[in-house]
Amino acid sequence: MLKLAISLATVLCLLAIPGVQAEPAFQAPYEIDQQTTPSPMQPGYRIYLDPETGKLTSTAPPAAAGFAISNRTLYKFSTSDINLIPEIRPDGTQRVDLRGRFRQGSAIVRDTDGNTRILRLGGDMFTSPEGAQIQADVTAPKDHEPEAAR
Amino acid sequence: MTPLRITIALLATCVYSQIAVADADLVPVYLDGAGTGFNSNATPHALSTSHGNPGTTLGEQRRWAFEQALNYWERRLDSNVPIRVETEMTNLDCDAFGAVLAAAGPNSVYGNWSAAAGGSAAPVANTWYGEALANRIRNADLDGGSNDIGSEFNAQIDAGCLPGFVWYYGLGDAPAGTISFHRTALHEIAHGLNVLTLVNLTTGSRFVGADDIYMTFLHDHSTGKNWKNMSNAERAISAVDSNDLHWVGGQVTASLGQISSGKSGGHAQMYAPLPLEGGSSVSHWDTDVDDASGNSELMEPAATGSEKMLLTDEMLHDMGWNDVTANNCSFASDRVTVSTTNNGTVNNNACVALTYDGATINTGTTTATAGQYIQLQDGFNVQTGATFSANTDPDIGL
Repeated sequence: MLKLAISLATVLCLLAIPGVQAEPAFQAPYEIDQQTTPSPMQPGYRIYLDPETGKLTSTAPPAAAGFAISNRTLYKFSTSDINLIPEIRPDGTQRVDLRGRFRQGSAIVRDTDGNTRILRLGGDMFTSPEGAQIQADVTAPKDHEPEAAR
Repeated sequence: MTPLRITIALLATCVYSQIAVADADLVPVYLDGAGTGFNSNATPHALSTSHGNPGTTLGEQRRWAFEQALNYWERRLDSNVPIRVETEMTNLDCDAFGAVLAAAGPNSVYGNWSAAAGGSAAPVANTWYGEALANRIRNADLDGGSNDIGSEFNAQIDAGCLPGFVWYYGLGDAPAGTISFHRTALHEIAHGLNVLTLVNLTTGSRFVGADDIYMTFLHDHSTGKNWKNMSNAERAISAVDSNDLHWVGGQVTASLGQISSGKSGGHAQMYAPLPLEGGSSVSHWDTDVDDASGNSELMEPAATGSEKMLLTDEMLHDMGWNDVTANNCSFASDRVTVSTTNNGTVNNNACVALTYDGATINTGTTTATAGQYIQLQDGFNVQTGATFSANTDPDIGL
């Protein structure tokens, strides 16, 4: 939130300086999908290794094993640009702090026979097959729990 | 890592011009507190120790494995701006049926930046670039030395959250019951270097209304359209257009000889299955991308245990990273033939550090196409008949 506030303050400051005008991002119409609105993500989401295809799915196949995905993980892999505000600098440079989203990841998944595979994780996997866009929570998740000292 | 002693018989004497070649400097930034994660003082893993990890604590072993992955990319990319890679061991999701191993990506994206001394303004207007890549092209840090890539690894794996598995901090293939930390890091750091699209693959909408540099190299053979010229709906369809989504960058296209499958129409295939696999689609090579020996690409949707770097380095070059050896001599006489004098062989694409009188004079990669050779650093005048030694890390196997 602090970075967002700083970004907004930067834009406002630029507007206040005579002769300096904040420009829209990339001079292009803002393409943010107005049909989408931020919504809380569902806790206890599970992903499954489909024994037929060997691929990850959000729908439980028969007799498939699945492991739980937390809100914090959903946030990291989100590809929603909601509330990601471009910072526009006086020289025209534009910057967007991704705020921990758009991460790519790997997971190990064990099937019901005990076999394991290493597969990839990413934001939109959590939207299939329903096709609905999972939105990023407007509030960044709380700081991670530190690993217990070992 | 066991040094492999090799001697080098020189093919020719060659005096090189002085051209600066700067390996990228990937700087680890460890976020863990004292005594935890990458700073853990716990007993090191015996298995990783026996496979060459010199760390005397668990934290040292983790740092060593992570930095080996950073070094791998350093040797392949050129940047005068240090790339700060933050990382930590966190409690990512894990239970008896699976675990998130790691996650990584750029911390910020940039567009339309102005030129700095020795560098360039944004090459493609109105297009997003990952922070590390933007800094490299500009030749100056756009954000005052902030961390460019974020990454984290699951600390719970070593605590036994997934019964039967722990991290393996050595190089090469992970022994049974372990997961290669190094290989995982290699893959995830590549995403941080910009191997990803920011497009929402479900809707096809672009990030904050503009192209990202990765998507500008995506082309659908069935429609004949590049992603930058598609509507949102067309991009969403193309993302599930199996076997028709391709990478059309010139560096990759010129290197298609590296692969024996997973290419058509003069281009390499991207992963675009139907239905969409959001975690894998588009931001990875197709699973058919293999070399003649059946090795898969490091950046494919599933780890096969026999991954190689086949095309990803060229993909990075297409987007604006320079090859670290791009300015070296390219003719045959700047190469030296190497032959092993005792144990083992030098793998194709093995990394080599060449030393002369105890000082490292060059690093490079081997190739098996015309005998084993590496390129010498610019400005080094070699003498016919001289003998060198080289340390290699053939266990990486990439």
